[in-house]
Amino acid sequence: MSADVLSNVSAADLAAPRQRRWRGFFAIPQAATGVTLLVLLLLMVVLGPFIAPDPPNKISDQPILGPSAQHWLGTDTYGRDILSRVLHGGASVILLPLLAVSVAMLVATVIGLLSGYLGGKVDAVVTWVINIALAIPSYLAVLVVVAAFGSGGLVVVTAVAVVYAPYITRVLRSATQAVAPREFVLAARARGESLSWILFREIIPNIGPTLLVEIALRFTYAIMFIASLSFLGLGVQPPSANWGVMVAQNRAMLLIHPVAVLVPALLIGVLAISVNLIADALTQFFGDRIHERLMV
Amino acid sequence: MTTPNLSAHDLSVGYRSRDGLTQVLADVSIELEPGRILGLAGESGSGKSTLALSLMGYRASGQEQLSGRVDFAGRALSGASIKELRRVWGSRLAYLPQDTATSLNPALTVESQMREVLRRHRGQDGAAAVRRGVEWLERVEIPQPQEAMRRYPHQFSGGQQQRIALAIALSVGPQVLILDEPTTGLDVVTQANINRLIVALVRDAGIASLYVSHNLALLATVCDQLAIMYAGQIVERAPAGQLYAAPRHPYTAALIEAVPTIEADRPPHGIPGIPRLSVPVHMCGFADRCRYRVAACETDIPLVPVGDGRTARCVRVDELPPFEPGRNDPAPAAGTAATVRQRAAEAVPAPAPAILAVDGVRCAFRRPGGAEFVAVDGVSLSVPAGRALGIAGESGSGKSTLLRAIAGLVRPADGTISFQGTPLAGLSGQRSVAVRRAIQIVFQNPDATLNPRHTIYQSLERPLKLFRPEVSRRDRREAVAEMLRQVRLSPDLLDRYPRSLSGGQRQRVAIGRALLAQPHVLLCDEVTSALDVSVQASILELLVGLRAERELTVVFVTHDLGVLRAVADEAIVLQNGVVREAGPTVRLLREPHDPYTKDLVSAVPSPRRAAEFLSGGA
Repeated sequence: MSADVLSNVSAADLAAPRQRRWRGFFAIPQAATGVTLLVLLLLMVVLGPFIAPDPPNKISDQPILGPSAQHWLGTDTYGRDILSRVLHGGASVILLPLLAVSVAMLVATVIGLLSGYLGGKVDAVVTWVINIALAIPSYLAVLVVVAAFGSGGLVVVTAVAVVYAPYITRVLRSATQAVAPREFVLAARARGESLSWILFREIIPNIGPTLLVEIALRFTYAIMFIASLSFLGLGVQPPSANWGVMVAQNRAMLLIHPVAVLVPALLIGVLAISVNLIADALTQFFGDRIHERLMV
Repeated sequence: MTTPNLSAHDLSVGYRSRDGLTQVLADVSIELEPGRILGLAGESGSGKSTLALSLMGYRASGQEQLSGRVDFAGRALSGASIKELRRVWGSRLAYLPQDTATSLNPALTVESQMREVLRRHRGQDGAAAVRRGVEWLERVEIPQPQEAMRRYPHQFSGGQQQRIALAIALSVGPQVLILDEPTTGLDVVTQANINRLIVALVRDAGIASLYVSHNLALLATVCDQLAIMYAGQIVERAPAGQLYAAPRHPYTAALIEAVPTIEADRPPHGIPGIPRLSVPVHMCGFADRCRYRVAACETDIPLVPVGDGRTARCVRVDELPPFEPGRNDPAPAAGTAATVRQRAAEAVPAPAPAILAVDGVRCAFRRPGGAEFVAVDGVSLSVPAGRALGIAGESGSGKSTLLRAIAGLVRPADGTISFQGTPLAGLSGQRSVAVRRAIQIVFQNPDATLNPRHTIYQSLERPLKLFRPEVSRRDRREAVAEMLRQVRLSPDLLDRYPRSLSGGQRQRVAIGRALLAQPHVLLCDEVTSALDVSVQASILELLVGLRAERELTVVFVTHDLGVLRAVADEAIVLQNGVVREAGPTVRLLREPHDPYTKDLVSAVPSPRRAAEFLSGGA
């Protein structure tokens, strides 16, 4: 009978190659649009400082100029070239949220996994802390931190990480709870596997999709959040060429010289939208597959 | 012969997907007659549910009717507009699905659901509808029907929910009733009671019925006629009793031999291979698993009359030897699985020391809200080395919890579990490596037993890493491949992910994972209950064989008394966490003493005792 069993497995049973899965992802319109926009923006941010006509803070004697051949996007009140500032100012817009989300994600993953897997008292305490943290408005919490430690990139990153960690923890905790009672986890426990093996090798790969979608979504929020903080003067400080700071500084001349405000604002928006589109596509992509992977 | 109420002629149905058209039904002709129940049996993927839905004129998305027609009361149902179908559905053509979660609305009371159906299909409302509803709840034996009308579905047990769904379906007075596995998933005693009720009501009201199920013994017990489906075709059709006693098609015969029964003294036999999922082209669908295959099997094979009003779809139907269960059993030779089992069964209760002993174990959980729920309440048992103990019980009896306590996954609140005379720590993490290695567990659900993100090799390599350091890194792959061969799988599967394996294959991998630790005791938690009958039988054969080869001690948890009989030397019956009866399996099933055990045994459907079963058991 063994021969029969063996012959019944055909090549069609093989798992889909990685390549085909990626093609499946890009077939989702949001994915294609989001990734294209993000790649263009990243190119601009990475190459920007090299192709910018001027250093970001080079002051000229021609303030508040409209777009011209010399200054494509005009100049601001200090006579700085807006195009150059735009090309320089993207890095912090992307890096600070990325840093904040990464830190929040690291902390949240460990706590969420432990809380979801161990349950009991650990879970009770974690849930209690999360619930309290979630009750505090995000802006208020960050304002308090900034008031206490002063403004600036690092403080904002820490504050945003602390504010976002409970949200992510909550999501990962419930994802873990869904996987923890499954039989392959029980089998690992019966074998006497270590806690770290069970968390990182048995559970994490199975909540990967949730993790990825959550990262992308939180990243969108963080971009908007930190850009708003910079606008309010709590984040990146002038004279840095941060897009949020540029919107804040140039808003006084919105009516006479709208390009100076609109371009950086638009770029922040496009960045947030592109990441959001990717998050959306990931949700769809894994939604189709989560069933395949976990249930069937 | 009365005129059929509902009939299908040469019905062929396919599903269209991105990969093209897959035919799932081919040339199916059946007719349902008033007051008669036609049983439709088949394994998963045989097309039986598609047939049931097609008979109602239902077309799932992507589903295409390729040929044939369905007639209901002289009118074509296939091709009827949705408007016409809606007039028929529910009023004259009723459907009872397996899961009441899909047939009852959890947000509405029984009364409002009953009234809605009666208003829609009979124009009855108000007091008249309520009266009729109460009357029907009474007929399906719901206690306090007036009261029950005001309750919500979740306030009833699973069995009662199915009774209510049946009452709602029948209250309208349909001419045809289609039952799709209506009692699958319910406890065996509940199943028996509901099936008795269905048969009585259907015969009484003269409703033409189709009963779809994977449980051949059940169908042979409750139906008048039986049709066997395989790969989208009806392969045999006969009066139920005759078909079960003397099948003519090799698949039917193999299927009957695969069903573990509590009566026969023969172990179930698996059918090699895995069930075919689509309609065969110019050949017999069963040919690649059939032991009687000849060249002539590779043609289109018609369903031909074979006498006594029976039909079968096999070219060799006239030359095949008469059915004789167990005829193909290998002659018992020393050391084979069969003789080991026999010896074990005949042996006087051996004074062999218990390798595993459970003494007064009690497991309790705290429910949200603080109330304590006792799953296992003071169970004691002992298993001598090399024997197989079966633990039988219905869902909620505590049998799985008990097994998990032995495996160290649940900490007992009280009592001790000892292995080779030494009491064990409560949780596996506190036990020694040697003990963890010696006691291995295999789980029920083939979909969850392997980590979906680990390859088969990654899953199988763990026990070697943890328990057998003597196997060097280099030899591990070979050891794992060898284990796959032992559980009758191809080593080619090593780098596959579980999703590309069938349920039976995954369960074999899980058994292999347990055996790689070279355990003394193998704990099996309903390991076959999610599998098709033919696959279940091969897994049982595998376990019985491995047990003999490796002198394993086995503790096997099951709700199926037939399976219990097939694997266990001794058995205990659990109810609500308490042992009701214990003893040698054969004697326990033949002469149960405890009233609960008696109920369980008499609830097992038996074609030979069909009349007795339908009249309410012992």
